Amino acid sequence: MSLPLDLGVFRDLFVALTEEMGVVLQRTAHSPNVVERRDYSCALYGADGTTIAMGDHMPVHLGSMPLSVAAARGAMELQPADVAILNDPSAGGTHLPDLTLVQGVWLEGDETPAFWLANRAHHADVGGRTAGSMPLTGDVYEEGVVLPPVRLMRGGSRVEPTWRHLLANVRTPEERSGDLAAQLASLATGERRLRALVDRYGKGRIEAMGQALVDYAARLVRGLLAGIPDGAYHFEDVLDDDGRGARDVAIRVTVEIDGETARVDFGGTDPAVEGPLNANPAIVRSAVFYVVRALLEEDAPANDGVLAPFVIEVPEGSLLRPGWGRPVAAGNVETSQRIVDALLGALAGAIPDRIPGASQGTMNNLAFGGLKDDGHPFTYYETVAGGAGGHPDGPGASGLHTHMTNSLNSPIEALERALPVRVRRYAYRRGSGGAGRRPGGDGLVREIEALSPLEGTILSDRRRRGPWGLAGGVAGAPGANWRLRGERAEELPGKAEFRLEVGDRLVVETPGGGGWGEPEAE
Amino acid sequence: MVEAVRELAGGRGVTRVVHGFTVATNAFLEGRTAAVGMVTQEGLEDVLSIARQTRIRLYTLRPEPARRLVAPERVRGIAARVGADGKEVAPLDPDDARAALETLLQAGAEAVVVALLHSARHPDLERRVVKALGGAPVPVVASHSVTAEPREYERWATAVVSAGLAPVVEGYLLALEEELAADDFRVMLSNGGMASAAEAASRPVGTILSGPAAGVVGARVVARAAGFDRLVTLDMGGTSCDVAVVPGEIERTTEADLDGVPLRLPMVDIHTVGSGGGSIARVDAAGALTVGPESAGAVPGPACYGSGGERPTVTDAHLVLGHLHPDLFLGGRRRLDVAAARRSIRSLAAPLGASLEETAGAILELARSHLERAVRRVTLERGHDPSDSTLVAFGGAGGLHAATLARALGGGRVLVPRAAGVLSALGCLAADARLDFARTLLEPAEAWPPERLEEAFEELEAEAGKALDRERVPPGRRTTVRSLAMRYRGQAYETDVAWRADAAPVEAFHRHHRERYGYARPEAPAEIVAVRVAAVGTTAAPALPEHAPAAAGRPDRRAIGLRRGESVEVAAWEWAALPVGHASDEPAVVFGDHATAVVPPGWAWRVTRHGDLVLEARS
Repeated sequence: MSLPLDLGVFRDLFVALTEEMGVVLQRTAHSPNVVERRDYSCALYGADGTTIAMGDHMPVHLGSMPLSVAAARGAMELQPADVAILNDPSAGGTHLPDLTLVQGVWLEGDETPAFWLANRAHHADVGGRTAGSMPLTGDVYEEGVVLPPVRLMRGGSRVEPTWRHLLANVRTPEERSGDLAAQLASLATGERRLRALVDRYGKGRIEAMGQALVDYAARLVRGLLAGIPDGAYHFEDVLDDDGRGARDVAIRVTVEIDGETARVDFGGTDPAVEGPLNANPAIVRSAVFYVVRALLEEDAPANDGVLAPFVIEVPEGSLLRPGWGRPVAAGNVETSQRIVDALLGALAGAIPDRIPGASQGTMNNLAFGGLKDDGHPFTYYETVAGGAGGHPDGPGASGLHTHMTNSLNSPIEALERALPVRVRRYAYRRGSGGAGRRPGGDGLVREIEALSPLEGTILSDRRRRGPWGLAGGVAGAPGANWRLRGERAEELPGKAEFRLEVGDRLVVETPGGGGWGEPEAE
Repeated sequence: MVEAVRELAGGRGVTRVVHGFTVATNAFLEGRTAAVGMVTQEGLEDVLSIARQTRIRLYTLRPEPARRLVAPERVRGIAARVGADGKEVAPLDPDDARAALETLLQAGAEAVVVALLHSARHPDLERRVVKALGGAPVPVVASHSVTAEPREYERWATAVVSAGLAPVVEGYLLALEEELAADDFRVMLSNGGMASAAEAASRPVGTILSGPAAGVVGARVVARAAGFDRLVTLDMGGTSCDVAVVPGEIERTTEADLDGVPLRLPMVDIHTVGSGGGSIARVDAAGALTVGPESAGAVPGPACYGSGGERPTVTDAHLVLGHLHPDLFLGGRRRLDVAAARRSIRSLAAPLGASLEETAGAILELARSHLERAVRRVTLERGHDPSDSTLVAFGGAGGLHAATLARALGGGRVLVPRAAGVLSALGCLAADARLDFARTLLEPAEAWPPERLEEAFEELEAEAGKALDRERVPPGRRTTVRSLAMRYRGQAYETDVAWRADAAPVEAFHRHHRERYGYARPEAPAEIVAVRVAAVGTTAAPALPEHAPAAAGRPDRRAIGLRRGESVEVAAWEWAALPVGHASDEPAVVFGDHATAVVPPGWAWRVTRHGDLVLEARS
């Protein structure tokens, strides 16, 4: 057996397994958020919880799912054909709508699982104060139902009290039930494939190659770090506000490169906030993971080796390690983007010719709900793309999801058919990209009209300051949110709960990307 | 080409020509299409360009957007609009539409697509706009007339691609038809059927993947003649590999993409993998061997082609291991340079710390692994199991990998057609006339009781009948195939369920869903997305030529390399000299005019009367 010759084959096998889990999840799920927007991830772990492989799904899930597996393992003695479910942000979760399922895979004769499988899907509603479960609240209990790791399935059968409890606490139980069925079907597919692999290659070989791939990813990353000049690089970036009074919430980071290793220290980051911007170390890991993979020229496998050369420090009580009880809805989707911006800003000090201007730096999370014609409640969630930063090698792209998300839009026809809304505008926000030798890309404008009364929440950022430029490039235009009522336009804050009466329109203008390099004279 | 056809006909009049062509594909990929203008909804002019707002590569600091299909100056919005229920939201002002057209023409539009919301279900407004633009100096097409797709971006993109191809395809086909003066000139379609040139030109996007579709049709003809029904076809050439699953009948999809652009018409369900004989092997930054996706293509090609390529490819690995014969490649039409191949592979062997043969073997195993991953995914997405299928391997490189791939997939049978390089031509001759008709419903299944569905089917069948009249299909050869595109409410993907007179559609859908995805939700409401009818004019299966070896051949002996540097002596045959009925348990390599087949140890093989090779795993 020769490692360099065989790595590629096993990498294919493991990635194929997670891809197949994803195929089944997407093809069988029920909610537009999973099916159309593909807001889910699937992964395979070793006996000790080491990530062996993860499908190319959602970057923001990458570094955080292993903590879900660890939490499920720590909370209970899972048995064969048991499946745990969780979303608790203090026990391996990120924000409440992300429901993660975890199961072990026992091989013949083993007392404990030889492997773990997990998948995570963003559910459009998990209860709480507002439809879509992303309220602008100061309290995690208002964000929805909190699930510490509990059994969803026992010995292959549904644990009815868990199901009944969960489904009684959400606004759209039928859809939740459909999406959970799809997550279970995906796990079953993963288990089947894994058993076939073990039959074909033997458990020892699969385990050894899993570890070899982790080592290989670590080697790739060490090579990357070795190419970055040694030194400590500091950067500070801010979130506009927490929606509840705190302004300019700062994330401070020092990236210290030392040969083939790096220390990433978030010391000095602002304390936890009252509003739902709080993140956690799982999200921080995901952001570091993303930046490393995006910098690598080689396509590194998504496993724990990627972070092996890193030490990550996150201070207690900070925005990034807030402790129990703080609301977290936007930590995963907004704060995660700013963590990436801070990391890239720091690295621009080390490798300025490889770092682009800041991209939109927000996901523009829009959640709303109301009653359909037939009186049934509905909930809906979407994110809106924006401008990418200008890059030393070329201009930034317009109207594209960047960094920690890559979720699709919902077709306008699907949206209008399913919900009492009309999409009036979905267009480039021309001129919003920052000027530069390589200009930033333009943001988007999305305008949605209510055909029946709606209540909702928008969680967005970069509304007060646009995404920064680099090397003399100009910042992109900040985003803006508006409610149009008749002739009157009312600007909404970046984080807002809103109500739309019939005929009102919500307008989301997303930020342009920052420019790179001095703009050339006309 | 016209010359060649005349020569084939040997001075007799040409009676029947079925033409498969790549003019549309190449024009699309190279961007040589007409400048299309688009009349669309005010406020939504950028929808086609924004596409699905996602980046193609996830991990990159320089994300690339989707391909732009229409220049921004050639898009104009109009206020007229209908809601999802078909009710008017804003009325049509014909002057508004004409003013939009005028702007597009000034911006150089050579064709115009009318692309409005909800038109798949409520086509009336698009029709009225087309009517208002009557007399335009360029073709004007409504998006709903090209595809019944119920998502605006995908429908509009398909219509724009079609309109852009129209002048290219029409010009090409009509000129060819005239020049050939055949009694019966037909064109291969991406749906695996064929149609008259006029019909094909009326919906040119329907020809865009006709070449690979013909290959699948041809593979099925050969496999049926050998007695095999459930197939996975593998068409492997220099740069890519086309995979299709054929569980008896050929399956079609309305979710095909080309170069990231959705093409939403029924097409033979083919998945293309960027893995072929030209895929380049290298050692990456962390010292691991990788193969592809970069390809040496045909130019400069593999190192052994001696055309300037120096980097090691999959084909070079085959040559180093003796799977290819330097003098018998493609019937000797191209001589291969063994020394160049060895040199290229050796450049990797040293950094890998492996022997030349081990390195070559590992390259082949990795290439096989990439294919395995793709085939598994394709079969899973379609709800099938690759292990109970016969792998039909063609294209120049298919037979080289087929046995090891089949084994990896858990399958035990491989068919390598003798005509491995020209199955597309056979497919053209075997193709049925086939035209697709659809009506979008997007309604709960319970709103469509059997009588009402029957009416919808009959309407489409009346349309289909007229089309078959135009196609001059004799009554005895006509059939129609009914199906329903269905999904659970809330699902975004529909799945085609064959319609059966004796089963309620909803029951058939639950069963289909369970078979394909492992579960059904009998309590959940189902929707009918579309009613579909395919009009088919059957073609008699062409007689396959009998294999007639020139002389009773004898094999040579030849050492070939396998995985891990092991070498084994095998029988080396020239395909033309293989006796019909020859059967053996011995490993072998067979060199043919179009393809080469490798029979590794552990496989039995035989020669059919058509000269095709059937390989069966022995354990």
